[in-house]
Amino acid sequence: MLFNMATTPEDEVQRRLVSDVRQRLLTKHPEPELIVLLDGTSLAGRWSPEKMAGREQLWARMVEGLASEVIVAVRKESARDRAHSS
Amino acid sequence: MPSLLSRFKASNSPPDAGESGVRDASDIITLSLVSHTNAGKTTLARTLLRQDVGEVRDAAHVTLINESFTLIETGGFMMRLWDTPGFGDSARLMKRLKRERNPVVWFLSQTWDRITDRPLWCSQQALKNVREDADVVLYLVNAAEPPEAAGYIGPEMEILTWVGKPVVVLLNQTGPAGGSLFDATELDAWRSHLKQFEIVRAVLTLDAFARCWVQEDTLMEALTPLMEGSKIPTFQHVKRAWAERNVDVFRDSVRLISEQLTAALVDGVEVRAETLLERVGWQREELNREYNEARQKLAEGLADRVEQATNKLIEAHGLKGAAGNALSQVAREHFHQPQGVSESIWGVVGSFAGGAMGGLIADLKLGGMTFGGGALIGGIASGIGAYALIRSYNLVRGSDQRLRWSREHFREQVRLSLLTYLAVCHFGRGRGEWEESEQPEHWREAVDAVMEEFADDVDRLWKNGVQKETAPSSLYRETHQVAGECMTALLERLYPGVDASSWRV
Repeated sequence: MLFNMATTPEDEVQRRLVSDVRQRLLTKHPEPELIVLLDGTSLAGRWSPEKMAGREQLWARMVEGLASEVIVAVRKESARDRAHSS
Repeated sequence: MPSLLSRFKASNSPPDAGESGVRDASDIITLSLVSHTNAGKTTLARTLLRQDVGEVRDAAHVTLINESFTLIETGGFMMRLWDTPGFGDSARLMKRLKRERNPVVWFLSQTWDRITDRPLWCSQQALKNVREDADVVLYLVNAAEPPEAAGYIGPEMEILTWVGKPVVVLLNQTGPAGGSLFDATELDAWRSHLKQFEIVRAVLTLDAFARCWVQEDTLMEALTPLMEGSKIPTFQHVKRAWAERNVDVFRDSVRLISEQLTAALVDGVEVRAETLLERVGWQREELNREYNEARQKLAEGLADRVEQATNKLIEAHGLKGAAGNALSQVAREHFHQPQGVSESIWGVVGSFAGGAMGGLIADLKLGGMTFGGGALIGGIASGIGAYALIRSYNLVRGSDQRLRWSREHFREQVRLSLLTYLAVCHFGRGRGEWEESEQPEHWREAVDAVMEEFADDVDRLWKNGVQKETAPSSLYRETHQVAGECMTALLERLYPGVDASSWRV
């Protein structure tokens, strides 16, 4: 499941969504593997690495027990990077 | 200076009698800071108030109650800022509200549990505040999210529309100060996205970490047409007081930088004249030692003044922290190595000295003696790789046998002072304790352009100070004039269209 990392995860919104998806998966697979992918592109350059790590942990805690992994991804060729390098 | 900051919590009541000189409700302008949860309301409140208020943490629903602060109070008029809990679970809330004939009244009449229904409790608190107190809603968004991804904005705007108070949207988390990360295209995208909500009267950039006071004036301008009836004259009073307070800080900054630069111009260390043999290069060891001591003395004096001036700038801007604490520690450890500062030490310095003045202080304290090799640090970015060595004389000897800073060195000092000013005046209190960080490229470009524009004036200052030995008081007046013009020109470049007439020196 892909989320924007800039979004603050909420119990009632993101966790509930991940939980609902997992419930659906459970009807078809006994042990579904659910991975949360966080798009950190819009935060790269705006946030410090420490703050990014903090946000990653926040997401990891939020989907604990539901997702097997939380992966942060940043697009290499974003418009932001180009603007930054120009 | 108008008084700042009194505070009281929740319960949506007018200020207590005796709390201030404010006479009645029409003398108070109330701004409600509202947003989806964790957009940075409390952080922005800290920046606007120049005070640490509330609790700041990267999590949903950290602020649970409405809290009011006095932004400014003057002559019986007051501008108040409410920090409110963030909206949460907005889409679901909206769906539920749509079933009611009078959704706002219904929602506010419900009893929500603060623990088990936290998002609804928080949303109710915020809405109650907007309905009962706000003249204008400052709706904060996290601009790091693309507008189309912020699905909560639609429902929250609809809820605010039911209440009917005008909304000014503030774009937070835009990245480094006025940087290229948040460009005109992104601002346009947000404006275009928010156009569908009639209640939104303006969309402005105001990053809690990196806003400049000039942008606060822009906010005040945007609020002006939103005032009605008896609030119009009240707002004029508080707006003027707000602007005056910012101008006072700007003028203090000009004074501090002028004092620092004037001191650099008049500073000098006496050295004896060279003998004929020494002049042709014989037996110069004693003279070289004397010169090195003089250089070190000048360098230490400059480092101390730069540090002091930066600390005073930080304080004048209502910030916490100090410049050069970490640098001083490094300096103490390595001060015994006057010559040949090693690459590894520069690496250590680079990691501490992220910004412009950090680099200069480090150079002066650690590498001051390396000036003898004709090397002057002109680094204006973090890390050893960015330290550019300017191969020029950094000291000159006047006819009075005193060693003084060279013209090139003085130019560099002016440049670094301007960069430091930008760093401090863009540092939001909400960001925490002062720390230098890498400065945006466009700041350097703007400073270079201003330095070019005022090159003759800066050189004239040096000439009057070092060559003509003008009296310090006259020199200070000249420096004050030039520094003020440079700083004004700099802000005008960075914020085109601002009216600088009231803060021109």
